[in-house]
Amino acid sequence: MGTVSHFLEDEGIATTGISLVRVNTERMELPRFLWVPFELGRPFGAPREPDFQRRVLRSALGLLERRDGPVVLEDFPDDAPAATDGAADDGPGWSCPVSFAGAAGDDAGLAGEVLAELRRLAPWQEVYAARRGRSAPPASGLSHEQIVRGLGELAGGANDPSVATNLPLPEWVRLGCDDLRTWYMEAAQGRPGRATSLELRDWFWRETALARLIGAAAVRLAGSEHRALGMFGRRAMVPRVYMDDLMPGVEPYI
Amino acid sequence: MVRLSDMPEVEAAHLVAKECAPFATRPWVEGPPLAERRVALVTSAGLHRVGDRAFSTVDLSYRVIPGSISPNDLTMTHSSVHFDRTGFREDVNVVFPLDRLRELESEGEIGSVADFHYSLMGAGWPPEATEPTVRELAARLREDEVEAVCLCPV
Repeated sequence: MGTVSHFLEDEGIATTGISLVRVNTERMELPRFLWVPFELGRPFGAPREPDFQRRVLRSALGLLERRDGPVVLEDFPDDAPAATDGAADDGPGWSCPVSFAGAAGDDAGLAGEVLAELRRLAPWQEVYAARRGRSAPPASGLSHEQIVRGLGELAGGANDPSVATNLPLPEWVRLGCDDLRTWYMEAAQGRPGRATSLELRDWFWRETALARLIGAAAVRLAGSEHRALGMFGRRAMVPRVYMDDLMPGVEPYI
Repeated sequence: MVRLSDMPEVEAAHLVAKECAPFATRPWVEGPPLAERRVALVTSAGLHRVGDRAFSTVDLSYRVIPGSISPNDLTMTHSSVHFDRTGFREDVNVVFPLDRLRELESEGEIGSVADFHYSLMGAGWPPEATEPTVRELAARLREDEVEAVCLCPV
């Protein structure tokens, strides 16, 4: 956002903004930013906390009244409200959505495990969707089964999986993985209890067969002789912090 | 609560390694009191209307978000897997506080909410790559008589 700030000001439009990585904003010497000590992905603090969000926004907008430029970087004083998402009840703590032990069904291999996992999670995703009145719209245009089978082919060494889409390989893989991950998170949030974002993230990347399948496909792509595909596999499929487990031997892109 | 010191080392190292050199100039624009200004949001979260083109993995384009949109009609196709999205799925305002901005308008704290807001996909682009898109955005913002922009990262 620093670059956007600089060029908009250069065009005569005043800016203020949220900084998530203070040291980087400081190095760029920018017009007006409010650093916040919040998790990446939550620049206004916490979901369903309108009063807190309004405080953050009001603080950022307040910097527009400052006259002591050209560099202003302020710190927001408070941490975000406790990050508990999902179920609205105050019952016992959140726990792993389902037991993943059991037969994979008719489909062999990791893709088969994921398809079985999808079936086990479906009732909880339905609880979430009913409670929210909606479900996140899929972006890939593919069914879950198409995505899983395509990832399975990739993980198995296929260079050009037979997926019925006009999207280039990295795009259907990325959007397809996003669709599935979002659906899994909805299922997890359909469970009783409250989960933090870190618990949800850890659950997905450490405990699901889908994460292992994504990791296996990412390892194949990371080893591709095509530079762009290799880079995509290294940096765009698995969070760096989980690469040791899911992509052993592959160096994270820094 | 998340600070660099609380993050896994590999994540913090990636963020700090980003090129963040200062610019040769330091433009600074002032304006009327906030209560008189027309305000737009610009996000780098890869948001867009459901049904609009998804952002691609390498994408310097922008999407237009009408000021009248219901936040539930927004989706996110950012290419990064390194930040939380569950908050956004629960409440768009944690990323893109359009409802909060409307409230500040109705309370008289800002002059008005712009008719259009804008979304990019921030991905650590070098300034020279982003500059043409931002200068085009500036033209659109001026057409809408915007006097202040709040930049919302992800």
